[in-house]
Amino acid sequence: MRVAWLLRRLLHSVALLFAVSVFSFLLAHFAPGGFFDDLQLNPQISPETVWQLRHRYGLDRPLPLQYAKWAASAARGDFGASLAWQQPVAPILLPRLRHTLQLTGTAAALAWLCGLPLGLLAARKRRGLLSRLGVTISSMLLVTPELLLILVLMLAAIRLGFPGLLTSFALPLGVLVAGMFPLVFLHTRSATLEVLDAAFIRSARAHGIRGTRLWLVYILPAAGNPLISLFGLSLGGLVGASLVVETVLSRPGLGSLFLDAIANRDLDVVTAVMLLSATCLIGGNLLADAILAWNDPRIASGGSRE
Amino acid sequence: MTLGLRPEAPVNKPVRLLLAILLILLAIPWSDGARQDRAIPFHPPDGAHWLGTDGFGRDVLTRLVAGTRASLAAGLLATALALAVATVLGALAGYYPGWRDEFAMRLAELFQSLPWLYLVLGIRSVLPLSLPPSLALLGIALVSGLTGWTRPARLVRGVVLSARTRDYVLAARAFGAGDLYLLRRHILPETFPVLAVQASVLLPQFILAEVTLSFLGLGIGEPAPSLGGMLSALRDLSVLSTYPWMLSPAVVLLLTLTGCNWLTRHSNR
Amino acid sequence: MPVGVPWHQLLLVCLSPSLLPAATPWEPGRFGGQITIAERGEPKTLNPVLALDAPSRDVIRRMMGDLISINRATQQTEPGLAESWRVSKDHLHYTLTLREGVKFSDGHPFTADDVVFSFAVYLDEKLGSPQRDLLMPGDKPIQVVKLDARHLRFDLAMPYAAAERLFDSVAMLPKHLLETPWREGRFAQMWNAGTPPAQLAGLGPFRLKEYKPGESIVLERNPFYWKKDAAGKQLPYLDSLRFLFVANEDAQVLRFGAGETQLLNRFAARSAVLLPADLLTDLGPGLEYSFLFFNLGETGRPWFRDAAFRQAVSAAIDRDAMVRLVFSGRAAALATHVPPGNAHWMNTAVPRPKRSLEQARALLQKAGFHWAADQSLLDNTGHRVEFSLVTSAANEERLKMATILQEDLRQLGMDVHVAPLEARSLIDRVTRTRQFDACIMALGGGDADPNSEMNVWMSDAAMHLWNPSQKKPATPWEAELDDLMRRQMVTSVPTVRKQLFDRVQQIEAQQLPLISLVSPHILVAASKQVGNFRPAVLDHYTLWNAEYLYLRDSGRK
Repeated sequence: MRVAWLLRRLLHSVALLFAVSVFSFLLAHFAPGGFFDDLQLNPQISPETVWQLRHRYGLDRPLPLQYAKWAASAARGDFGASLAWQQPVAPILLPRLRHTLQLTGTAAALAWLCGLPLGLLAARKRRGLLSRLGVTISSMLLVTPELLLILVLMLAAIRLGFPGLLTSFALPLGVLVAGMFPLVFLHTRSATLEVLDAAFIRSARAHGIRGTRLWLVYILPAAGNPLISLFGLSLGGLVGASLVVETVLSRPGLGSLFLDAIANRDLDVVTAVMLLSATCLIGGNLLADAILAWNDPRIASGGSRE
Repeated sequence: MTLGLRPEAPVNKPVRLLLAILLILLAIPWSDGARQDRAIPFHPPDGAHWLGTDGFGRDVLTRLVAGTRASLAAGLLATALALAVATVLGALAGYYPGWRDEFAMRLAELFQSLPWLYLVLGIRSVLPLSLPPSLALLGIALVSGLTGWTRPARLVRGVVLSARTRDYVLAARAFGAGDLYLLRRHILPETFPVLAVQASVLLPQFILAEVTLSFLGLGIGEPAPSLGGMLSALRDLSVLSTYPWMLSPAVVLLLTLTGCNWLTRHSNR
Repeated sequence: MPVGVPWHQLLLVCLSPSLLPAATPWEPGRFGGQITIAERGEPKTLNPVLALDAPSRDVIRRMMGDLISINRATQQTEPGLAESWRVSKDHLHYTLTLREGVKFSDGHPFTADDVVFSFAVYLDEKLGSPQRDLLMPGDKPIQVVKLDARHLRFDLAMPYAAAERLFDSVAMLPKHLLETPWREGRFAQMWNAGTPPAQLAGLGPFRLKEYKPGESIVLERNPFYWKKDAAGKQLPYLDSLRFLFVANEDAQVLRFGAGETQLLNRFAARSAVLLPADLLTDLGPGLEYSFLFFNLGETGRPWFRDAAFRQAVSAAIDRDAMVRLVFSGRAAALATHVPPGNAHWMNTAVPRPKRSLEQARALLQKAGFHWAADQSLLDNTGHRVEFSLVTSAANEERLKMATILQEDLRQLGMDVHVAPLEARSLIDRVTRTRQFDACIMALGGGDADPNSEMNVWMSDAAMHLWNPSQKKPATPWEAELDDLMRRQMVTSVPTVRKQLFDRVQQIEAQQLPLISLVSPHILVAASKQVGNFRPAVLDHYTLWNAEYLYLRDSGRK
């Protein structure tokens, strides 16, 4: 049953990825302007030259043809050719992807390692210092724009005499954790609080079940479902989470590459990165659903609720 | 609801007071603060300008009030929209496993995976250049809401999945309760904590998203102020490090958020 | 300059030598060490023929050599790979003599064949090099004839004032490495960012050492570089030059402040307060000019075509406030598009604009406008004067100028809606769909000569922003501009050219197709360790003399 479910999900995911590539491609062409348009504002380049460049790279061909060209290239493993970089997209992307995943993966792990236990502890004493402090700090982090946080941290590092921090792994990591932590903390805390109020916990307590057993056997599994979904989502965000951080702090990841490609309409790069991040997202959700199903086999068996 | 501080906690009194002040400020008519006094750019707070002036010599307090109003309207609308879509689709997916679940969740994944930016640019290019403020607000809310529902939808689904197999739900069903009744009375209330947290996550996100949207030509344009726009002035590090009163929009945003938590908590109890 | 347009280095033409500092000898430097400089983006390619983006060009330029170079400080030509040149009397033939014994950075000798090959590649229609149009004065490609191994003749189809300046920044290519790929149609894919250093060869002071995607690119000393210092020692002084990719300008300034980079190549005035004052150099106004223009074509509003309307707008603009509030005083208010940084070509007889709302109101009244009871301006048919103003959302300075302009014009009763647009959307509206009323833009990255702006002033050109690609001039003054610009291009007498261009500015100041606003100062910074630091107002502001730059002490912090 579970194997069949998993296979079906995998199949759906592949179909979805195909849909993502088609829609990304279409949407990308929706935006006004193209890669070579910048040249039009250069008084020393004639419109004919710009037109010729566009023609040479096939940007004047009908969309289905352009998509077919991209798809063929994707099938070869190149995932298109970048106009700006004059080379296939895959070799540009892959080394950067590794760096990005290292950074975001570590950050996500840290955010969960801190957020989950702290959220549980905060829920245990909902009026306690930890609870109040945690909620206040999380709210503050939520309203701080990422770029602002980075610049302030950079400034602080310099003014306080730690210029070495600017090139360290710790600074981008800290910024990312600061972005992911509030989500984990707040959700853990509120999900646990809700369970604590539930009747079955009260009766469990009345039956004398306490301490670790109460938490591990009764509370966590009950509070777990939204957290598992959230975990899947944070896996899914690994590709996209660090764009700004990487760009500002010169980390060798996907960040500046992707932002540049968006602004310059280097569409093959955009489509490839979107596809990458979709793969990550779909994979994360699939994993979360698999855990949910394992947690509760009825989920996998579909319409078995009757 | 359980986010934030308990109503009976003493710390909460100043928060409530501030909220009241905020509400009053929002209620009274107020100018858009577009008047520039170019002799006093970045003037520190004094009797005439309680929160100082910005780089054009405009009164920060006036702009803050007007900006909060606009951003809050857009942000709340967007949040409501996102959560409404999320609740419907998430509940649908969680309650009816099978093709409806598959469809809703794959749709969410598709929505999360597309370069919306380009769509926004495309739409912008066919809209007239001068957008009336109300239309701009609506646009911001629509774009944010329609791209922001996916995460809460997944979370809601997770909750509904587990709630629908709870004993009391099964018992109610055994007594002949219909799907709609079950969803409304027993299952959806369980999703409130997740929705409340998501609201407090989404609202600041959407208010900040307005900056990105104005970069794409779809924001609340100058000279009309917005919280996001005022916050984006802080991206300029020299402003941040020299003129601390320019931080006031961040404080307001924080207060607003605390207030929203407080409101969601009370509306559910 | 629009974001990312790479034409800083394309052409630097004619500035009067008399107005500029004479060349001062370089200090003898110390060998060794590395200088790090932040670059706004990552170089996308190392192919000098096809590079479009500024970061690529900044890096490539340090690795490549040209036949004749323009000294950025004196703005005069000086010998590069060509040790001398002669011009024929009719200004149609240039004969160049190459230096003896010059070698590429891989040790292969450089000859006239490489020059012939390079020009063939640049002029290759199929490749579409952005420099191609420049090498075709009068729409005919320059002919290159090899006389012997060290002598070449360049034939022009028509006289072109100071054509030797065209050779600047045309990088000479190694025929031995690139000819086969070119013949096989693979040239466009050559020398991309992933190419291993061994497959690259240039004639510049540095060569590629290491490229870390997304992080940095390091160039090392070219052991075969031809240039020597006054003591006869082989340049460059530095062991290596490192470009660090930092997209955010504040982050660039912070990293410089932390001592992580030694040079800061142009930054916005607002960031100046973040730096110690003694490290900062303010070079004064450069060649960039920002301006407002209205859509004078059919898709624009009828008032825009009324010169009195444009004059009133110009009179209402508080340029001094822009200088003060947007650029912290580090900019110059403009009367015409020729900024004070371009001292030779600026027409000093055109009066500096003075703000006067009274004059603006009088002009409007005379042109048939009147005011409603609520102070809003109405045209002679009773319609409210309201229009939108587009500008690039990515440029903070221009957005702020738009906000000031909006308030200025509100005092005349005009209702201006500022619409910030993303860069490509803006270009699309202005150059293709023409769906806009007014726009703030900036031009003029690196050229002083009027020739470089033919496409802006000719009424049939695509860059005639206010009303492009006209079949025949729509107004008498545009017809006169066409005539003046055409004449100055083919005239070889400098004083006559100057007179013609003075008249262009006079017409501009009256008709205001471009309402010039301000020209920002060029700000750069260098650590005290850097020797021979001589920044110029032309691009590349700080690295143009990279071969002479050196570090005073140990070189590493």
